[in-house]
Amino acid sequence: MGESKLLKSFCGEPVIHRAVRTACESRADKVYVVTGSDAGAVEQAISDLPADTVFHGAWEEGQGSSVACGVRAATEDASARWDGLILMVADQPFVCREHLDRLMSACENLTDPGREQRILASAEAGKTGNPALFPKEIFKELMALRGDRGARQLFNRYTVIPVEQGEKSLFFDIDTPEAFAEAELIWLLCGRAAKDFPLLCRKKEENPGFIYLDSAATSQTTEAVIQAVSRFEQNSRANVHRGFYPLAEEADEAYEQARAEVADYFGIAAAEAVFTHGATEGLNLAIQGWGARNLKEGDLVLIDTACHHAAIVPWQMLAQRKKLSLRYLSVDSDGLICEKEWKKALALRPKAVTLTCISNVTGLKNDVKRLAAEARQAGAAVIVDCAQAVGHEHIRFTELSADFAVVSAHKMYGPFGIGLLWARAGMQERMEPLMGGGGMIERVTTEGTVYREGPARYEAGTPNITGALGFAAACRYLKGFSQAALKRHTGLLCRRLSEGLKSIDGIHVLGAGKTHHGIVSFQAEGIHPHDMAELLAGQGICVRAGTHCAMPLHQALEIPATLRASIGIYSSEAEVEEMIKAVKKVREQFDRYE
Amino acid sequence: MNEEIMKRYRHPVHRGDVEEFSRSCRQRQAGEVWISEGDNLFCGDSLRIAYCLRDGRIEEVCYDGYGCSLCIASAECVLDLIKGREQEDAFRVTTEMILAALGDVKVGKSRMKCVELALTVLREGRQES
Repeated sequence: MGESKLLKSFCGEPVIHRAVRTACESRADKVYVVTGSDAGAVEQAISDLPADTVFHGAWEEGQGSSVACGVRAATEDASARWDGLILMVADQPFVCREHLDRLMSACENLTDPGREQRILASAEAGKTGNPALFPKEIFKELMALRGDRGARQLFNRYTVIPVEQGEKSLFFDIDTPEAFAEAELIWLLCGRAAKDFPLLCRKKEENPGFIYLDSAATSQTTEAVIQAVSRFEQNSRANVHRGFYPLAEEADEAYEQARAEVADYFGIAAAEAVFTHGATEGLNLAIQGWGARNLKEGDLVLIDTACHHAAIVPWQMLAQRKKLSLRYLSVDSDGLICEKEWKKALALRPKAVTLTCISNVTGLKNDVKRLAAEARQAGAAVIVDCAQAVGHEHIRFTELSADFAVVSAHKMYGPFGIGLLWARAGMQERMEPLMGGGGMIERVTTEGTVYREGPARYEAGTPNITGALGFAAACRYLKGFSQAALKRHTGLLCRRLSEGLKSIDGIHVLGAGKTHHGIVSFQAEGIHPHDMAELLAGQGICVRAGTHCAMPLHQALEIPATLRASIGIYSSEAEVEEMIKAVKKVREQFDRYE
Repeated sequence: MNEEIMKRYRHPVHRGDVEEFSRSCRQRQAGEVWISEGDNLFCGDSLRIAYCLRDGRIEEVCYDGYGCSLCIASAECVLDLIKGREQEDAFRVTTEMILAALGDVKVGKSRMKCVELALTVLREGRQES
């Protein structure tokens, strides 16, 4: 992969930063980082960490010479005398602080004579390798290393004590693009991303059996998002678009920078990004804000029956005021739009169509791009609810063929109370603001008001400034993961969950056999979803029971209620297996009462 | 799992078909039939309750519908409690009485609606014409 591998983001963190941070967090007294061809960029990438960098001008000679350079720097360091040092490479992302500490503890526990001639090497499944601890008596030999052969050659000359690290993927390196991608997937499937989420860390410490499978209701949020919010509150808190003093300008810049970042994440211009309080407000703005001005009595509106209430109720409210004709697109037994019905409905020349990208009940995906394109061709404005998609894939709004799209930050690891409405160029101007007040006006007199242009027109009042910053931080976090790894992670976990649940007697998975995107809902014969949810909660598992704000879909499927499990970036294979076991256990508990 | 709740849920005494109950009462001229229905669509629960009034007393009871174990067990308790009472007296049945009948079970805030559904439905009863 070349030198740029060190600077590439691996599951949210540059490779080199992860390795150096791991070393700094261990019990090691000092960390030396040997740099080579991309020294400047590497130093920049780890500038926030308390590590010393050592430039090795002859890095092209190979790994052995780099090791020698690093050991030399450590021994020549006048500030310290080292009893031993650990050699680790940057491209083993599964190495963590505990592994380094374990090596040091193993060394401290050696008491027999001859211990100074022993190398302690990490071990896993019969193999030994880096990271390895070398006592000071071997420093001279390390400094004599040359060329491409690293410190491993010394394993033949000294006694090597294997230190079992209990990490299956310990020696997995990321030398090739394929290995990099595979490592990312392993990382996600093992649930390693959970470490980025403080609540999950705390809950799992309190109860190792805690499993959060309700990300469709809300996802957990990262330390980085929390820090972004907290930093603003502590350092830059002022209202936006109002003051002229430095602090106010700092706040303005932070807020608009956040808008730019979020817009960029979704592949749109900042001028097309309206911050809202969430997908619900976005849908109301698109439906009632645009619809009120552009639709008239008798106009036909098509609505996917599987839509969330937030995409249905505003249409009903508007339809009552403007006497619109609402038609609910019938769905098949999996809750997807019936193709025949779709064609028939389009032939009636609707003026607006509302679609859901991924159902928050079934987890199945409509072919939104095609449906939206066909609807627009038929002359309709298209609104797409992307709320459930954003936690699992990187959506670019302009690729949807739609006119409006909405998301909520809290469904993609961001804060509550903030979302985004995208309106295609030319559509935003045709929306009426739903709220009036400060921040959205050019001029107010007793005669009337002139509104501002652009997104601010729809953001009356003091905006959720910290929410916007947190939203941007969530986007940055997600950008650190490869889309392929995220999609495969979601796909594998959902497939296993769906198949595992289906195999239990009396469990019916909605959309069984189809691809689920983050959500798997099911019914259990003779067990009400509430009872199932409560008993699963008793086993530490968080899921949702009910109609999930999608009553029309449940009515169409003739199901009173369902139980929904939904995964997040932090969900693991092990958690999915536990969920399957737990549902089996509940089934057995209920069957005892037959 | 609460044994009393599961017992009432899995071995209901008063569950039946409300329409069949009403037909039977009318055929036998057993008394005035009162029916009510209601739901808690948020969690997908719905109940229909019917009873037969004779000389001002609730002599026969029946319910049907869909609900969680707490909802159904509570419906069973409500019908147990109202059977034999005068109608006005039946409306004085409280949530506390239901919880006591279920063995003083502790119910979280989010599930109190499950306990209360049968009472809510009962109080909205109307006489069948």
